[in-house]
Amino acid sequence: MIVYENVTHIYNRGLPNQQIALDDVNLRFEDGEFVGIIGRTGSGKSTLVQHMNGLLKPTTGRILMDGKDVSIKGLGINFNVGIVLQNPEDQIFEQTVFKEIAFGPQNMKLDSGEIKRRVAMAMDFVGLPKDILETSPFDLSGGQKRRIAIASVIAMQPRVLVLDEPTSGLDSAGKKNILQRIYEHHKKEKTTVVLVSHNMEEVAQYVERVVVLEKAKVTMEGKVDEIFEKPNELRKIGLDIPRISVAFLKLKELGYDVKNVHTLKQAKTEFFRLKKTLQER
Amino acid sequence: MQGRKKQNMIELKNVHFSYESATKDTKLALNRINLKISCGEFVAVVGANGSGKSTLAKHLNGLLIPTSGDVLVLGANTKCEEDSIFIKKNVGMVFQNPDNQLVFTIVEEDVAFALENLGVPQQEMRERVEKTLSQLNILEYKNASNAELSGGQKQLVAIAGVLVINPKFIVLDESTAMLDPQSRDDVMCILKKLNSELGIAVVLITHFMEEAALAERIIVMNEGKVELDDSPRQVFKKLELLESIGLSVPQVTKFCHELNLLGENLPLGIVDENECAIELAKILKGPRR
Ligand SMILES: Nc1ncnc2c1ncn2[C@@H]1O[C@H](COP(=O)(O)OP(=O)(O)OP(=O)(O)O)[C@@H](O)[C@H]1O
Ligand SMILES: Nc1ncnc2c1ncn2[C@@H]1O[C@H](COP(=O)(O)OP(=O)(O)O)[C@@H](O)[C@H]1O
Ligand SMILES: [Mg+2]
Ligand SMILES: [Mg+2]
Repeated sequence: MIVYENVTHIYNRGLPNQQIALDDVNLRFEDGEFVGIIGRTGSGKSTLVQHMNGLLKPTTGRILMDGKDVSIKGLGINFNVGIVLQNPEDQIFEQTVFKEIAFGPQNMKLDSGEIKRRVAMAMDFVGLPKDILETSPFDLSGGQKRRIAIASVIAMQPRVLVLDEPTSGLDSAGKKNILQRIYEHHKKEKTTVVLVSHNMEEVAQYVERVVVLEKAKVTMEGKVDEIFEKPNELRKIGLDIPRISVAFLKLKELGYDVKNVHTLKQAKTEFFRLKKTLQER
Repeated sequence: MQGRKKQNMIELKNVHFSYESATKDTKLALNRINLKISCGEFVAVVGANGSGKSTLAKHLNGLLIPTSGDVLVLGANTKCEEDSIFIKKNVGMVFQNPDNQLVFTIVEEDVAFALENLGVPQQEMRERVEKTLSQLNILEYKNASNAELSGGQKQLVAIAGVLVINPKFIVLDESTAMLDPQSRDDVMCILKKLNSELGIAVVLITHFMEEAALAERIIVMNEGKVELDDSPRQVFKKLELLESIGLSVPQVTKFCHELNLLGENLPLGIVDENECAIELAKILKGPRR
């Protein structure tokens, strides 16, 4: 379990460009949960998640993992929590794709056979072809770099997987396949997953609980279906509901007695329920 | 530039491109591209990762030069060194991460930067910057520091930095990818306005099918080639093809398609939530017996 206790983070403290990025945040992430974090750009999402393994340290307050303060443990060398940063360029520095993905497992002092196995597994996980192992990651397209960044964290098989807008820049198939793999991995290994996303459709489909950040504060928290029941509140703070939910709200405006839906699956069930009721009349 | 015919489009003729790399067998990033993009158009470009979109974009303003074939911008060949300023003035580029594009801390300075490079006099520069900022509804941030802005606002500042040189074309490479839904809408609204009111052609590279659906025309790239080039409605009718090349369709299009597979009778290629609701209502009102 990870607990945020009164966490405040101030960038450039005391300078004219001082910025309060987190303001007295209290949160709890249970083991094995799949949590989504949403909020406008600049609301503090990336700052929040980078505290999870001590990449950033709180200005005041503390973060506890299983009761222990994570900032005391030393700089970021925490193999339990793997973070895929928002900008893949911040994470990529090796000369070949193999070295890049092997970097984490090497630091974990795994043997070379296991490292190779992990790299192959991670490449497959993110849908990268094996023939680019010796290519420089800098010679790849934007979406391919993103996949490398995800693979290098997956290769460490962390207990807590933190993904900061992992699907931005991925093509449709990449988005779907990688999230599906992460979801299955989470179910099977009971991995805790924290997903920062601007994509309401994917939040609705994979996440159990949602945390909404607004101007450095947590302003809403709840089960995914509860959060998407509040389109007006979400829109007021620059967010939205999934497109299929929008279509069903319109159908409601047209006078049909439909329930709110947030995924394609719910939409299909609801459509056929409604059709049946209307026909029975 | 002398003697060239005046044309109102960007034309790609038989363009091939490969990133020379010693380690790789020369894979073509662009393979025989023939395209015309006219002034005033609003075009979306979609395609799987690595399909050649960014490579294509960089050919439109001479950042990359074809390995073979030609790119003509308003008649000027990107191969001609002496036309490069003319081309850069007419085709502006905006990238994914505004932080990489903004050089100065103050909004006004940043927008003025391009003009300074072109040697525009101070007074005119100030006027053009103000005009551009007000066109994008961000004049109030003129003296703000970029760090105070939200991601969406920063992206608008990056667009302002391009718009201020009065280009005929603006090319945006995943410029909305990092934005929240509201900021994404704001940027799209502004692009629509620039297109309809000022006649600026927009070439929008995106992985959001909902966003591509707002263009007049969609170019679908696949392995360095143009796979489809048609209106959103026609393109999104081809769900199976799109899925087979790593793409998809807007969520409501997908929903209607799935209902059709389950025996309902909805028109193909619905891309808009409103239209989707109306069509669903038609079915619910009464089955077409
Ligand atoms: N600097 C480079 N050096 C060598 N090869 C490159 C370079 N940049 C891109 N490539 C390769 O060229 C091909 C096309 O890449 P491009 O960046 O145009 O794709 P894209 O469609 O923009 O992809 P994405 O959706 O991931 O941004 C890919 O095979 C890619 O690996
Ligand atoms: N390295 C940094 N230095 C100074 N300010 C920063 C830095 N990173 C983020 N900020 C500021 O902190 C706030 C929250 O940013 P961030 O956590 O990146 O938000 P989000 O991920 O929700 O877009 C913003 O006002 C941003 O400008
Ligand atoms: Mg962020
Ligand atoms: Mg690209």
